[in-house]
Amino acid sequence: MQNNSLVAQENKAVTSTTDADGTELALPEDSGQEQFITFTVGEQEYGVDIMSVREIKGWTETTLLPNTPDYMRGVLNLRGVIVPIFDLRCRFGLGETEATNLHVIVIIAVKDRMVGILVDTVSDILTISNSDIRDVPKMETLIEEEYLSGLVTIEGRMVALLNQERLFDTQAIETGISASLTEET
Amino acid sequence: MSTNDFDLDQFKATYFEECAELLIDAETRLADLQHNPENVDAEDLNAIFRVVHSVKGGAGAFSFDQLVGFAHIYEALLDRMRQGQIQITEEIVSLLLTANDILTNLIQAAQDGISVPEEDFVDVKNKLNLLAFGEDDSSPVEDTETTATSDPDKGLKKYLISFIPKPELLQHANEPLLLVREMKGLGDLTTTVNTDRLPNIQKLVSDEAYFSWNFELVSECSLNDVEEVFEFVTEDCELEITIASPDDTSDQADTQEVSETSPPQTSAPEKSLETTKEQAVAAMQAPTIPSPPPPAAPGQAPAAAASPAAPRVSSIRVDLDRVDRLVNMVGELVITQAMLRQQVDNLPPELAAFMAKGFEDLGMHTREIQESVMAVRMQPVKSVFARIPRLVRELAAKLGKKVELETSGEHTEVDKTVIEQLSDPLIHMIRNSLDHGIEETPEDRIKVGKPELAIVNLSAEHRSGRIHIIVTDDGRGINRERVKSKAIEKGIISADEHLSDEAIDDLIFSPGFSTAEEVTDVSGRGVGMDVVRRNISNLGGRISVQSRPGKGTKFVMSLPLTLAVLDGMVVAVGKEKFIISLTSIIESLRPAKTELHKLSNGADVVSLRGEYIRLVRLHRLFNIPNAQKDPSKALVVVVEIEGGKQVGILVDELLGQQQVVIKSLEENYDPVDGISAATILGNGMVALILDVDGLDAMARQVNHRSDRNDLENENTDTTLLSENSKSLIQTADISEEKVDIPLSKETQNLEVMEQN
Repeated sequence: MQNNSLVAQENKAVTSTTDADGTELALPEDSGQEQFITFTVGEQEYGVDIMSVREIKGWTETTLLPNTPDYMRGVLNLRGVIVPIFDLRCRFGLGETEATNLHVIVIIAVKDRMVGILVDTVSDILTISNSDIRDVPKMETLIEEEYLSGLVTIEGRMVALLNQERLFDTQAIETGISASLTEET
Repeated sequence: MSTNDFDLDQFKATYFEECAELLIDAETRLADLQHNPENVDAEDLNAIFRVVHSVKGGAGAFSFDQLVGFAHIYEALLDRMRQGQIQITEEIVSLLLTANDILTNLIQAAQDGISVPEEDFVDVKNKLNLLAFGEDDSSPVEDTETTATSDPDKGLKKYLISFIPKPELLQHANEPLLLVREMKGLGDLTTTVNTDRLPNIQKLVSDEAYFSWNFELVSECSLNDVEEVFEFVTEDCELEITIASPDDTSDQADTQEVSETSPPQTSAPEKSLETTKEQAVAAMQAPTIPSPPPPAAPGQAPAAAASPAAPRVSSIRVDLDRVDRLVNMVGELVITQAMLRQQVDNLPPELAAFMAKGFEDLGMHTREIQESVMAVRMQPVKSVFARIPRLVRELAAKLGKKVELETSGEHTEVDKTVIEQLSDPLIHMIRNSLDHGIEETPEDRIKVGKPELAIVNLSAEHRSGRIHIIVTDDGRGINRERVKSKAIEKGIISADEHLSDEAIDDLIFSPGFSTAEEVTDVSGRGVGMDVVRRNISNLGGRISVQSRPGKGTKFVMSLPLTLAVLDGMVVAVGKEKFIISLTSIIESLRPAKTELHKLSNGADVVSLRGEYIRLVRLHRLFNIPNAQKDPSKALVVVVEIEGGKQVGILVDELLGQQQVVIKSLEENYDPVDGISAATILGNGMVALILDVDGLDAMARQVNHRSDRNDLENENTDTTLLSENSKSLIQTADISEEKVDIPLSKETQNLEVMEQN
């Protein structure tokens, strides 16, 4: 519940800063900033919008779902809610994570669903100006291109910002597992 | 104000909800009247009157004028009926039924924000009008309105009224303020209050009346009118009314003037009075909507209170979300409790013994809480059944058949989730019975020696932890010849197939089957009984049919009592655990090698008492490593799937029987083939609930794709499915706690449970 109220507060903050037509326009330096939680997978650092993060917890054993893609690491019981866990390393085609107790699951909200992403460590909270976010350069057909919303350089390190809606919401498209399903939106 | 709009919407929603409940009540009582018009229970009439009155009251508050207008006439007729001024005949009852249907339509229209064309119900309205008001002149019974207007006394008169309430006045839910207001409406009123009886504040009893009043009323009205104001309080006060000439000025020296708008006498007791009054009035007045004022005139309040009190409602309205939250939390509690229970076993024996007693109690209480919470969601099927009489009436009229509906067991309770899903299949079944079951015309029935009036019976009962809903008709029964030829024609069966009578009857549930010669607009809209069967099996239920040609047909729907929990068998395959619904399990067994056979298309079958049952290899469908692949060393759980067929699911072992709370997998992820839902086991791990129909479909696909077989060859196992799938490998060690005592692996032909 505490978590919820915190989120609600944060969401309010979001609406007030993104409401460009409103009075907030008077504070451009404020509205142009966003906060991200960053975490590492191998050498690479990734960031997600802090507003979407619901919880961070240590790795626990999951129940595997049959006939799902490799990066789908099964489901776990988060206080009575069944939450699917995705392996970010595997999602980017770098092989499955050998999960240990030191690995971390970041629970994030993607639209009206909750998903967990398995990462190596959580590193930082960044406050980034929108103007500092760079586009992802056009490369070959790398998966990253499509699932990253931007790149940011902080103290010499590059942080890739995740577009989680693309990353997890449409996970069925590639595999065709549930292509026949009609999504109610 | 937007907040006000919001509030009003909320009240409207409450109002419509209440209307729905009220209409169900009225419908039930009307059905009683219909069956027994000679011997009418006055309470029934009163209750219907109250329903219509409440509907009208609420409608007034929201200005649904059309609804108010109709309800008013309907109410007036009912009022005359309950006063015995109108003889209750079959004709009247059927008029009431029609009126009730129109009332339902009007409420629906109000809810949808549309209006019903007047000509749709003007006939009925006129009939009601004639009965309710048309014969007023010949009626000797006094009518307050007519006497008021036809009063011969004219000219100003001055009434001196002494009104001394007895202490109980307030306790009887009367309100002096309302009387004062009403008198004020009659003419020029001067009020003086006598506070002599007012005790010391310490001795003051909040619901006793202490004040008395003297009124001077200058008005044109008759004495009757003035007396009428006090009509409902005469027993609770000393009242004296005298007529003086208008210029008479009698003074009361020892009294003080009180402003009418804020009489102090009511301010003290008002709060406590409010509640009792509301309770008493609630049943008669508009629905219990807190903020908009009751639409009835203030003077009507005492009238309502004085009428025979409605049966006390001892229930509250609770948002389903809240109950669901409670159910969820209790589910969590059960899981946590089971988890702790397992930990106790790890304690040193002396501590464990001490804890065990506590846990026994805790377990008992948790079970009780769970049962109580589930009971909160239980509702009588009455709410579904109550819609059927109207359906039957309308259909019978449309089809030109004479049908009577009998219902029983409408108080049988079932979970709210099931109730919601029950309505559609039931309506479909009733339609089917009326359209196809019963003979074309009443004459046809007479020809075969049956009474003209056909009977459709609808009943509900609890049987072995499930609810059975039975629809019986005394029609012509299933025409097996025609069903069979139709099935052959549609390619559902082959011409040379030999089928038992039961199997032929069962064909009516086949997809794309409809025997009606022409498509009527009643049933046979392209969807048939197959949809009913599918809907019911989606609910974890089954439907079967029994028919005797010429005598009638009987449909039996068997449904679980709840969709929130499930009795399951926990099974292990490799390191994975799955739940199979107990209701689908027929038996489990370990086949001998000689009982295993392979078909040419690669499917495995096991012979069981002369029948061949297809094997579904769970480990192969789900790519589970380290599972027992040899059926003669594993266990086969025989389950019943759609259409009454049986398949055998190959599992390593049975871990025990358990009630599990059903959790949605789709809430946060996409549906997975072969899995219907998930649950949480005692160790906090998620376990998947198998969808046996889905597994069967998957198994058939796999057989189509590969006719290779691998009873011995383990390597082919992983290559059978799509490349995106992976083998299930547990990446870390977990302490494998068995949920329950494992059943003996050696047990051969273990009968888990017998379906009856």
